[in-house]
Amino acid sequence: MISFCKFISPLLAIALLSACGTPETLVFESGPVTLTAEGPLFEGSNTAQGTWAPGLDEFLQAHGAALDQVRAAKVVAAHLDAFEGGNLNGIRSASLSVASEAGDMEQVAVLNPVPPDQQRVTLTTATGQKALAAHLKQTSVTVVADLDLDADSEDDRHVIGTFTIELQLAR
Amino acid sequence: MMRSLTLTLLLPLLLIQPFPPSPNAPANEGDNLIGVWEPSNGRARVKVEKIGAKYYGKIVWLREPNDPVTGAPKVDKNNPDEALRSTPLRGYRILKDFVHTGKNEWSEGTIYDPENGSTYSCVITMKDDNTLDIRGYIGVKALGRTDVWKRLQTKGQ
Repeated sequence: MISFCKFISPLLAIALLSACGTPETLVFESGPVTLTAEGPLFEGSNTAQGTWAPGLDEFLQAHGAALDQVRAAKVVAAHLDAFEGGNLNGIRSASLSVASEAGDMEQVAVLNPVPPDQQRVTLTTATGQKALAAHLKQTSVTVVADLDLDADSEDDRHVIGTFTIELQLAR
Repeated sequence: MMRSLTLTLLLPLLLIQPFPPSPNAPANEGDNLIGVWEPSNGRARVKVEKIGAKYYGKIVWLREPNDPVTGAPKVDKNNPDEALRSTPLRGYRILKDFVHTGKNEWSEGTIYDPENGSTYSCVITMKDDNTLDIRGYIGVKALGRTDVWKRLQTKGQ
């Protein structure tokens, strides 16, 4: 009986591992998301936000996968671009977060300070992004940028956020 | 004839609410939370805003904005995620994901303590238009701690 168990246990383990499926990584690009801070704006932190329709379902279908196979998601690159050919001057620092009906707001990236005279900057991405997968499965996600401005302004301020996201799938 | 004329004149008046809402009162009762608030220690001011259907509060003013050691503006140096430790403290969203769950109550949110990098469950109760009870706790609400926050620009002034 003991020898039978010794024989069957490794086979059982292999069978269980096979049933779990092979993890697979897909790279998903957000495309540009316009974020607006509505004026009047004040020196210090101002909130810019925009709505993003990830369209993850269609993306996964095109790769022969489905939403329920997504096990984790992580922003691996985040960029902030100036709007319509301007630059990012006046923004001392920027932080990007995502929120949706699916769960809690998650900060995904930050850049402090923002270097002068830049049209595009790359932010440092968060290490842990536990809630991101749940947000991405929604049809609508709110992207929030906390912009630390160096002066008051009566006008709106627009910036464009883009994300590169790694999806972990279990097929 | 006189009676029907009286009814015609009075009916529109009867349809008007006897006590119309104050011009300062928000259309959504939950929006009463929106504003700038000061914790009891007076070391910071927190602006509550609405994003989507939830309420969030970010630090907009610090009594000591600069780090005494580096002299540079304070950052979130205790964030459990090292990659985010350069996030400025002024502008940091310490109240997150609050839902208006009842009369004068907002819950299901969290409060972050930058002093130790810990996040706690939190319930906000509005005692009056200008006073909040902010109760942070871990697990059991009864075992938490309450701080009283005051509205910076008080209503009715």
